[in-house]
Amino acid sequence: MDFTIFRRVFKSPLFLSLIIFLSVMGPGIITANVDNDAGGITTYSLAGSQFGYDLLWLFIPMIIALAVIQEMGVRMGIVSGKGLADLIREKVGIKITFLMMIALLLANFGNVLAEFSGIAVSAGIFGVPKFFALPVAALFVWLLVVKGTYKSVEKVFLLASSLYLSYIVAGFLAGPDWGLAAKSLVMPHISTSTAYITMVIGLVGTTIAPWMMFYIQSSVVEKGISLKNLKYSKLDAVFGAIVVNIVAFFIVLACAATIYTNGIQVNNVADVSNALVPLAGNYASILFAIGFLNASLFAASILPLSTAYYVCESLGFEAGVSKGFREAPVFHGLYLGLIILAVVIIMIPNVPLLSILYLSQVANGLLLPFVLILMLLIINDKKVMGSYVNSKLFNLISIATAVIVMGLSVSLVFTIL
Amino acid sequence: MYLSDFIKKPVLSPSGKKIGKLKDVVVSSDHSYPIIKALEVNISGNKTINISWKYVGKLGKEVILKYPLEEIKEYKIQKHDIVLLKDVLDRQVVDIEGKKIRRVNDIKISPTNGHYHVIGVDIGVNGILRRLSLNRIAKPLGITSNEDLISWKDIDPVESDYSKVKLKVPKQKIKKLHPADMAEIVDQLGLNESLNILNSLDDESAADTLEEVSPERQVSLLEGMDSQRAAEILDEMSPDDAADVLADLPEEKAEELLDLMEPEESDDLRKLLKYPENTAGGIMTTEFAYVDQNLTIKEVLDSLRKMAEDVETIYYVYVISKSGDLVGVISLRDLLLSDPNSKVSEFMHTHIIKADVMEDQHEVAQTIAKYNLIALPVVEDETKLRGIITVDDAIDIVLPTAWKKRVPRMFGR
Repeated sequence: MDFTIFRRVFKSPLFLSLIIFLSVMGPGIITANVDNDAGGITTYSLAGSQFGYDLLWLFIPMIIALAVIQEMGVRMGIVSGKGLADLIREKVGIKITFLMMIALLLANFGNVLAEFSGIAVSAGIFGVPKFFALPVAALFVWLLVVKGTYKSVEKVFLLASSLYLSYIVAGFLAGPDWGLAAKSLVMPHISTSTAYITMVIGLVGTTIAPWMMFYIQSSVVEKGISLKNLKYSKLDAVFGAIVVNIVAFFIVLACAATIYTNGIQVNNVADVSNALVPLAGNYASILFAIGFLNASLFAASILPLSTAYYVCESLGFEAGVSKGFREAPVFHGLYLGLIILAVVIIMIPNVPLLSILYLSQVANGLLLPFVLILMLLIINDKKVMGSYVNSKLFNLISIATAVIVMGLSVSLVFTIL
Repeated sequence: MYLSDFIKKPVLSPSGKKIGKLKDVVVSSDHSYPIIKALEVNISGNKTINISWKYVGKLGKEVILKYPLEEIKEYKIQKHDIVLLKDVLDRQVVDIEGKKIRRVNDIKISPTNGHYHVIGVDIGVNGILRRLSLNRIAKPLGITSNEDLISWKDIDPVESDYSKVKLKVPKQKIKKLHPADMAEIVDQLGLNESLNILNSLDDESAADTLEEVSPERQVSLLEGMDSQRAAEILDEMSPDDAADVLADLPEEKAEELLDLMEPEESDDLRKLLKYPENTAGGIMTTEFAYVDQNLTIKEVLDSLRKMAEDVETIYYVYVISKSGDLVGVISLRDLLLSDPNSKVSEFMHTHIIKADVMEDQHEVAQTIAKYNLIALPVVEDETKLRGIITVDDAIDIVLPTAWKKRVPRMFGR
């Protein structure tokens, strides 16, 4: 057989770039999609159900901010070869690191709770009781991580990422008003009501989550991507940011087109899924529920483990699944503790699932500016980044994001008080 | 005493007037337990001066100087000096004994006849509690643990400073490690630290280490270092490993390195690179022992002695005919047990188990396992010997190095 044709194709620069991109791809897309977790989907669907098309404009600034921040994480990871928690420890010493890790632990525990409550809710949509679903899910999460190898786990995750397409399909099935959607996307509709501000901070907090910055950087370091391929990784980060926001956009759209238009009151994802049946058909409803289960499981697999890693590595405790409990007690304690505690709390009858989801997003929002400030300190340090320090524009965008989120968080805290 | 006991503590003049705060401690790396050479003191605002140890009267909760500030000449930091807070505290160090990477939570300092020595680093919970000033609360609560101290003799500070090219401290200690252990450490450290370590090794140790590093890391390391140095390391690597790395590099970079290598080595590599990665040709090494079929057993042993240094295994010697065809193979055992004066062709095995250069690597591994071979010859056109695949490479196929070592950080180290 003559391979010259293949060889010629393989040698073409365009194809070569594509191959390199595909091999580097992963961290950005996976991170971005884990980002659309239980808390995310709940927030998006409530945003669509309660505010209709009004909040769609937010997606353009969110894409820009998320792309910039993800790119920064990827760049820091590749240039320094270290995770964010490590860099923070080396930059500001143990005190601030310790406080940051405590805060991250709490916020991430909130997120883990949200993921397991997401599992409970989506199991409920399919009629599976949570007392059965939660232990099974916890076992699944544990097995996947402890028994799987990274390659297979990454494949599972990439596959799971593609399941998010179900939301785009659901969006189309809902038959939205495309003209109005396009108009709302570019024309901001701003309101100063408490509910509106709360929803904005929820959306930003769930899309640009603090743990995500730690996660993307670690996975880039893990993949051992070299400086030469930095531009492909940047592309991955930007691509991931766009994909995640498109998915989120369709969730808002689906709910806006059906639930909001028909003036139905919904309080959680189960309501949303049920409300979709008469309005957009059975398939849209089932797709919605499957997507939700997938998202919750996906994030539940990643969050407890990555949290245990950051905390242990930055404080100098032994970390690693392959290490025994005796060898790495803090690591295993944190990892299992996060999962078990979350499952137990969610199993309590009549636990307020929605408040948990909501509070976890608020915790994210409160922590975000601090993580951003530390990131900015490190990424502008020539000793760490050499000539790869941030450009003025990137600094401006991330500072703006930090200030806006902080302002929103503070105003939210005041409205609650 | 620990570093955290005096950092940020007030520095007083002999008259008891406060002149500043202790910012950092400079030690000399010349001793196996470094001696404090100077104190970096933060006086008013952003100004700092380095005060030589000879002017320091007392080191403790307060630092008292022997002379007033005006009479003190500033200490100049030398090449081999280590600045503790900046270079060591909170950073990662290589624990030579435990063959692990540790993070320094505190630094233990001990006075002996007028000098202060750094004797070790604290990597435990106590260090963290002390730094957080929680140790007084922790003790009554019963949160205490044994001291987790590593002797300074057993650690190697790794530097991460992007701007530093030259090593301040030559890495003597780390050379004690086995290349496989060193590779594991290189895999876990940041890229810049890994490069620092590799750059401090001689070509041969660097090559041995690089062979054991995970494939992704190999690529980033070779791309990150000076091309001339990379070529020198590749020269020292065994050709099959070198070819694997080169195949993973972008084509231009691979060409550049091949051109910089010694012609003899690069010719071998170019031949190897022709074969697809997952075939026998792609994983074989070209460094094998072979002799002419007309030699006597004694002559074979003599030439084997000469070749031994450069070949992958001496246990099998391949016998080649005048026309360059593979006609037989003889094991070292047979060579030793046979009559030295008889021809090698009388004792060699002529039923040769071999693989074609294009054969799939998994089949190769199975053949090696099935016939319990130490190495398998790889031929092209039925009889032309091109290389051998040794049993350790076969193990790597079944249990890839990548899998053995690079069970990644996130999902188990």
